[in-house]
Amino acid sequence: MKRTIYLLVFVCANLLFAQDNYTISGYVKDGNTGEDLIGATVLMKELGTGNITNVYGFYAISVPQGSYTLEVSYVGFQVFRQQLEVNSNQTLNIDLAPDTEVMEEIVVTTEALNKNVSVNEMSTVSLTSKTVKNIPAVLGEPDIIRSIQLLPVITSVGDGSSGFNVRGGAADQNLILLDEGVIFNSAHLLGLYSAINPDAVKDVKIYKGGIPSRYGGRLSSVLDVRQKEGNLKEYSGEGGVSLISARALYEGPIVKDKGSFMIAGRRSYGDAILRALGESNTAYFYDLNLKTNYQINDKNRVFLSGYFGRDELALGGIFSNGWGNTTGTFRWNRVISNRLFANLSAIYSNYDYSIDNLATGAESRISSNVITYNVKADFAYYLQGENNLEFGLDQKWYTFNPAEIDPLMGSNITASKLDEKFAVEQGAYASYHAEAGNLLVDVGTRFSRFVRTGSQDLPIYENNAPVVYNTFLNRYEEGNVVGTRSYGNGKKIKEFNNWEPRVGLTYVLNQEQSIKASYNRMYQYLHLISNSTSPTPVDVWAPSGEFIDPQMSDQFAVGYFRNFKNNAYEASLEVYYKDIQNMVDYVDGADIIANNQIETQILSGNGRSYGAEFYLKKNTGRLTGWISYTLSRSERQVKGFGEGDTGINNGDWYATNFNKLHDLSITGIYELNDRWSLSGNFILASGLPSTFPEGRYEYAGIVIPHFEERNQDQLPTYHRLDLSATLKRKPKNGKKNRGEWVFGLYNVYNRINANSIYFIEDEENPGETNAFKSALFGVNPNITYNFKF
Amino acid sequence: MKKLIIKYINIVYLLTLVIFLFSCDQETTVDLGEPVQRLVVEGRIEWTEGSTNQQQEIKLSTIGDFFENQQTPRAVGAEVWVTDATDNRYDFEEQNDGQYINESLVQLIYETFVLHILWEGQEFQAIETMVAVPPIDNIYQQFEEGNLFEDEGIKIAIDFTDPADEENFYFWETFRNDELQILPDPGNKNNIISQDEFFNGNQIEGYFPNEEAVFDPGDVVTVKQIGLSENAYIYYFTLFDQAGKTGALIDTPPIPVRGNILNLTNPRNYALGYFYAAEISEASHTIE
Repeated sequence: MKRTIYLLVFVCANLLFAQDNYTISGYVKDGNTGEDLIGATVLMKELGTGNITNVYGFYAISVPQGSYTLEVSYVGFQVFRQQLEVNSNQTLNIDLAPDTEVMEEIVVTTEALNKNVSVNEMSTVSLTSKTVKNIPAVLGEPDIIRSIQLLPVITSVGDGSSGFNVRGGAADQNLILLDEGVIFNSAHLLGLYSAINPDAVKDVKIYKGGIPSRYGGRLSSVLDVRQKEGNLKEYSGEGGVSLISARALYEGPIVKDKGSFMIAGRRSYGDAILRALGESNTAYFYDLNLKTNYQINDKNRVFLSGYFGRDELALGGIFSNGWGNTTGTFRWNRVISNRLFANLSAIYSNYDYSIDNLATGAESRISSNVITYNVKADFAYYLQGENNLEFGLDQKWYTFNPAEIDPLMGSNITASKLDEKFAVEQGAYASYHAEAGNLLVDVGTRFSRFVRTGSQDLPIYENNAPVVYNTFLNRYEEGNVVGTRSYGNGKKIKEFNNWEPRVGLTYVLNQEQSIKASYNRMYQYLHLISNSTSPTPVDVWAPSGEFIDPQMSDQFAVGYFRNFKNNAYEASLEVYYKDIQNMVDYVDGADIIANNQIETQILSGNGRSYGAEFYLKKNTGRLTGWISYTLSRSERQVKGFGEGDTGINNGDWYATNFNKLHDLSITGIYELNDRWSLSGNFILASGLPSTFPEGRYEYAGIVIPHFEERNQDQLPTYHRLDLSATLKRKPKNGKKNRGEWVFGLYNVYNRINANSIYFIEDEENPGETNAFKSALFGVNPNITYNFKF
Repeated sequence: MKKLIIKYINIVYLLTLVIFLFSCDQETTVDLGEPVQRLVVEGRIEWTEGSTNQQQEIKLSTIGDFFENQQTPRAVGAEVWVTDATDNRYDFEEQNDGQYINESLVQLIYETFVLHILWEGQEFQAIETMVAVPPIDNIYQQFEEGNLFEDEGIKIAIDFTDPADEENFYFWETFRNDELQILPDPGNKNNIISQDEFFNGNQIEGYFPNEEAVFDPGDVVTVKQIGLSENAYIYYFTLFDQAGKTGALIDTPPIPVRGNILNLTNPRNYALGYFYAAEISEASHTIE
């Protein structure tokens, strides 16, 4: 609390000081479509002070009375310049003109910017859906999450795994937001594709470190995805057809320049092909993105957006499984004064799955969901020059329904339901951005509070230990339940209160060089309990409470940022160290599905990861692209409780499933001429940790591989080259229709990269044991047609 | 039937990978080094209601080289005996191939037995209390249509009634003309063992105790229904889980399968395997 007071005093002082200034504020938009531009640079040339537009496209700058040149720039758009006579507060909405479609000559007219050097932000990367579509993809399906894995220290536990790992963090430590709604499962088809349709996306930004205080709830990263608002000027559409799916988007004004809508859909049709081949099995996904907005007046604008994604798998007559995310967001942007911007949001999010078992005699359904209601208010107060204050409040109500089992078709399965769990998560934050000469400072804190509430009956364990070590059998077991404690509706079960300080510093050496440093502490109150290598849609989200403590991380990062050749090249070198406490891990042989006492199956441990990331990006010219290289280590330690109990791997530090010592990726896009462009990426990485057997033995009529410690071995080195070529259709004069063919070849030289190596007895030849490497995606060609109308 | 349901969850991941045809598995070799030295104990005390002097068998072996594909070394020259609650000692006689047998053991439901092994200067011990099992009510053949994962053909089905007033854990062994039928199948952990959590007290009809086994007319099929303790169930679940990997990322990670055998001489040098004591119920059917 003390800190908040200091901050307030500081801000008030600033307010007084700021009285002699006038504020210029407004929105920066794409002149063609009316879309708000996120992160556009707004600069008062003479003063050298500026700001970037926030996630809603709003900016404000306070300057003393005078005459200035206002300069607004954004990648892919022409620079906007205007002489301003400042003698009062002004509202100035700016439409940026896109670079003329470069048809005749390949001179990219965009001025490269030095944002990466001059903005006080590190460990972040932005992607546009255009870049995503230019990167070669599996089966030609452009994919956001696969694309970000080409960036430094974002990895996964293998091809086709759900989720991703950032700087040595677990897959459940990524906050994935789609228009502020939390997405709990980012994968379609168990990880082959990500759940987000790239057409509907305006801006993707991932924070690996230096996470601003407005975000909270996950330890390792924030993937903030903003959907398009919809074209305010005219109706238009785009779409594409690949071997896997078809997608289409349509957008346009509801009232010209006032309100618009966007609707996008995507569906895979692998199932249709299967059905045509006479299989009664099916696997498909679809998703739907919707957004509409209306500008009531200069000061007020409202948005309504929604996402609905679903996967269905069925094995004819035996089994079916469906899961998906649904989110809905209502937002109200209000410019309270020239200096004060407010955003109010109400968000609904639901992640659910169901499994129908249709096996004779045991017909039943397991269903589960997590529902979140969220209201939040975010404010930005613009002070003198670049200085500003962001603050806000956030409240979430969670309902967890871990599993409900119902008989189907009159079977003799007993209906049952596991305990519902309820929780409230609250956040309050303030962050102050200041400029002092060459030093840029962002200092802030988040206060988070998590309360588990009833109604719930909680078991009381002997010695308060849900997991006990059986020194006789040498294994972890469920603790003894000695009683039950009942909590009534809304009654507090357990409460956590935590401060999460965040600091970011940038020292600008000159126009081309800067040094940055950041520190952030994060708390996470929800845990994904999974006992497989990669998360699955049916893993259990468990909230912190009586038996599970929140996870916490501290991350330090330092970086050197340097641009060359008038910002044509940007380079950075960052080192980081991250310390994680109370990471959950399961006990050997954990039984996590439909378990009412999940706390009896988990241990908690610590994690640490550290590394260096090198990133070089070429922004302009015929050839663009980037090289990223990471040298890193990610480890975990799970100690035992005490006597005889040695934890995992004797309580020593061991490599996590996603530890990669070396990770190199190169992505290049080459504009050959006005119709053809070529792109490629190459990946070379250390093999992931693995556990190989120490021998085999015979038991119960079969042969069993014997393993001892976890992750002491390594899979073979991973490398792969993908290529693609894009052919734009000849533009017809006066016609808007544009189409392009994308021809791709994934894994060009057919490298069989092991996702895992497993050891089994041959079913056909009992007594013979073999090692197999399992790989996804050998060489495969693809073709996609994208169009706009 | 929880485990049945989960069984299909596992299967469906396989299915997805199969459907999309991008998955390929290749035989490979890796450098594994010398196998570790551990004693493996497969100890069973089994009793059928009304019988006496059943032959009891304790099998002792050690760990072999993973790629050698030879029978793993037998543990010979051990002294093996079992004591009951009243300290009666039953000596097990060595049969030269790592088998140790005894025919004088008298079993009682809920009686606690202690297994003792002296081998290469180390003393091992395990304790287990005999668990009851309900009888197999009916055994019959049933034709099952094939699907992606199961062969089409004649399978053996049983009916049994789960006792309502206790937690039960089951293990089924299926024999064709006295030969044990078992494959290292990923589905074993949800098929040939089960717990009654979701069918407690119900009569179960048409359960396939071995979904992998397909029989021909003339085969004499015997099903042995074994009552396991919860510990033994967890042991077999983990064992079958570790033996049935699929290579998919949804596999559980490899772990050592630890049972109830304790090394009294040097606890860190643990032995593998399990010593159970179980009532069994057998039924046979000749395939028509």
